[in-house]
Amino acid sequence: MGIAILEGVEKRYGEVMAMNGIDLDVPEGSIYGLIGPNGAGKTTSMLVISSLLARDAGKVEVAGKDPQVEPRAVRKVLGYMPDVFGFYENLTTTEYLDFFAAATKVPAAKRPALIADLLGLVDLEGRADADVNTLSRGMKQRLSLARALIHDPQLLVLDEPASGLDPRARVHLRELIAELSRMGKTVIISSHILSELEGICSHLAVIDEGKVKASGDLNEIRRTLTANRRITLRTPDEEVDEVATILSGQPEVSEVDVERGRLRFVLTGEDEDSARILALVIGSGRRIYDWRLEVAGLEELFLSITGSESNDS
Amino acid sequence: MNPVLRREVMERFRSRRAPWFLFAWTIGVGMIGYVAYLVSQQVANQVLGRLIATQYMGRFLFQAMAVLMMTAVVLIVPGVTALSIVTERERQTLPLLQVTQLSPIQLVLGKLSSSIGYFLLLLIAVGPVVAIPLLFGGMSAGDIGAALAMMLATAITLGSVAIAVSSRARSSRGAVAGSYAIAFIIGFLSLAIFLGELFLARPSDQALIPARGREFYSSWLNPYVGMVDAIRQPLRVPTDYTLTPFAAFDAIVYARQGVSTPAISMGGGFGGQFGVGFAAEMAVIQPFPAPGQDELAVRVRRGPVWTRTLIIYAAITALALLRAAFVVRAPARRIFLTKRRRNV
Repeated sequence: MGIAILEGVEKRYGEVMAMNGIDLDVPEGSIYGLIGPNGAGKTTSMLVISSLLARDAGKVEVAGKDPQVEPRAVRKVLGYMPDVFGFYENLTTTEYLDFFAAATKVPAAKRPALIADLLGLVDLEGRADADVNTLSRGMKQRLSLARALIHDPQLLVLDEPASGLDPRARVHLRELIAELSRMGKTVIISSHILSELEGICSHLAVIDEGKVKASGDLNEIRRTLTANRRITLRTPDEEVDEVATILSGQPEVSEVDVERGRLRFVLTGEDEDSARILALVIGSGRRIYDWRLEVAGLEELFLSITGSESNDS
Repeated sequence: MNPVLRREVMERFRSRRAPWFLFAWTIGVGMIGYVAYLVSQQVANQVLGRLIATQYMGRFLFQAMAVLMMTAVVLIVPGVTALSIVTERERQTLPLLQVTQLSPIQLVLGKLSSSIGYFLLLLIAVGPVVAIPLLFGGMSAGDIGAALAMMLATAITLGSVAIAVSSRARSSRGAVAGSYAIAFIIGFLSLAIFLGELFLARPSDQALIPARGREFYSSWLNPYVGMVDAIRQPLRVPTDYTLTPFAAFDAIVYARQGVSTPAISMGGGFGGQFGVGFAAEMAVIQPFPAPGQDELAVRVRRGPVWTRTLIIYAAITALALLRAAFVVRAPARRIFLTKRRRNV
């Protein structure tokens, strides 16, 4: 049972159907990426999950509660970070967090230690007394993340958290999200820049035009969409042709190609088949310097999913 | 302490504008107080005996300050409060508040108490100036308490209305304009409506006041009339009626009971009736009650205005705050509640 479940959720803005029967099941402890182009319905989905937007139809449950019926119960377990900063003037980072701690009913006695811990977590301990408005964009994003964490929620909803950040700040944010996942938090994170989510998501939903095109465990999606996996290997130049001959003799192998001392081929099969063929080549006395299974990136998956949909239509 | 109030106070008092406004306000009130003192001194020296003169000066100064402070409530409170919710929306912090454990009414009350608190600070800052009339006498501590209570009630009402407007407004400009429009209706337009009511109620072109009086409903809404009525007992008519800053509002209170005052009858028409009494030569008008009218024979036909004013203000405040709290609520819950109500 997921911590956040959406079933057939619909939301319309006038003529535009922002959510057109969206189904999601976010497992506890996962980092669940919502990917899709601008206007796909990612932010609307997050607002509905966060109890900030009313749905027109369908069912939503966050930690077993309906955000519309029991918003306060949902907000206790949920930390929301929107895609805009939203800061107050003339407050220090500590005061900013203290205000939200008070607003989320964190006891006053616990707040100083909690805020110090959070500032440490987001690497802002040196800026505890800095005016919020003097922080860089990356720092503001991290402070915003600390704000979302102030009441120790189980579920974090992060809407485009890396937008506008420089590469270093992006890397830092990704590390932070991975750390949160290790702490047992469930993270729903959206982006239309797929490389931002590459490597950190355990689960994925591809949303386009208000519909979920594919969702679930990222590796399973990969397996489903890329049944034919490409393998690249490096071998001494004098052995390239012999290795190519061995590979071509295997029924699971096709499209063997030599390119600048590297052999590439398509494997129709599972990891076991890959291991068996590698053992066969080595067993024949050939030397293999490198044997690499190329994993389909999010961009490839996204294009594969949305491309096949558009072809279908 | 309400976290919204705490944050608003920190934010407000760390801005550069706050100390400058406080400084200008204190200087302005001091100067007006000084002018009022000079006028009252001139009147007292010319027409009144020493003992009465001192009391008159005290009363004049107190009334001038009370009218000034009430005007400040009408002019400052909407401006201070109108931006409270709309700026949260404009700087996109409202959703951040909506996902906390703060209830909408807590949010609204935090905003209101911050604005009222700021206004109370302005009052305290000019406390020494406002307290000068106490040195002269001529009014009781009860009078001062009544005036302050009516000012506070008016501030809370106008603040609540401004918050309701702010919660609906799409821009800061719209919020300010809407809040001031309502404040002007309550503070000033109600007086103009009173004039219209008085004109329509006149028994003849010669007589302005109906013999048995008439209820002027517009007076119920007006904070000045409510304050004057709360301070003075209606129909406790002095025989040496001396015009003071309350004269125009006194006139409304008396007109309800069917008696005319110099402020209404002098000059024989509407023009120039209100606001007279500040000049020394007008200080002492004809004795009151009017010739042929026995003071003791005047019956109080209608109850006090200020109780009605307070009831109306309480109703306006409650409606405005509930409305603001409903609008500030996250749309998910608001729409759910609306749908459920419709289904019921």
